[in-house]
Amino acid sequence: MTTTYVLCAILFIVGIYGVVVKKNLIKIIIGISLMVQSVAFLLLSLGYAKGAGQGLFQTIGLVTMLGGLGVMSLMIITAIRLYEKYGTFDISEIRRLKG
Amino acid sequence: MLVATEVLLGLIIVAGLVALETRRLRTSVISLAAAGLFFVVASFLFGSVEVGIGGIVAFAVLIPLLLWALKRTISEDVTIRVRPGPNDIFVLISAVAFIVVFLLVLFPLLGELPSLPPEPVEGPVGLSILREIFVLVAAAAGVWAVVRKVGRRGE
Repeated sequence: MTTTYVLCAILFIVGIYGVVVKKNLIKIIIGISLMVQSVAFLLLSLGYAKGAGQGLFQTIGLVTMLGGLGVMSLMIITAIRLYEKYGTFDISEIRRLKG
Repeated sequence: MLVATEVLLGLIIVAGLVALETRRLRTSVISLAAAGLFFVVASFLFGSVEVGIGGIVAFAVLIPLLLWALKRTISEDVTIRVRPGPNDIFVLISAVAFIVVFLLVLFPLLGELPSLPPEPVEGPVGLSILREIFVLVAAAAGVWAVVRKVGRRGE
């Protein structure tokens, strides 16, 4: 089970890598999606390990997935609006052009 | 079964790295869809049918939305050659260090979690369904309002 937790942590770090290092808005959204997946997977594996308490972890995992879906939908729409305004997905360029 | 889910988790990591490192954004989205597929399969392997169905719904919405966004904008990542600066590296190392310390603290606590949670207090049967529908309608109304604003920008 420890291997699963470590793999979840690696997936979370991959998501953080996407959010911190990448400059493209779509890649940042993909990174956040990977982080949400890692948290949901960790909750599922915890529920599986605990056996009888699986229902509680399933519910929290489901809420994590659907909450993440809502956040990412709004982020995609915001990214489109930013592209329409600045003509680029590059966040450093958007930061330079703001104001 | 645990080995199968660990293999699937490894495939999700690979698909995630491909999604982040590829130049074509459409390939990134397809890699994300593959990661979602592995996640759904793993959910079913864990016996979490609700999460599996929730994952199918989530990715059935997210992937077409991302493809639609790429259709409206550009499908090529022109920032792929930009090297991360020292600040990015510092933030990344700090985040990784935080996660490692967090997990080291969390691991001993995981064993103390109660196996049987208390029974949830249920209200009337229809009320929870009504509440879910209300939340979904509110979310759909929010997305529609923002999309409508995007469409009217040219006016």
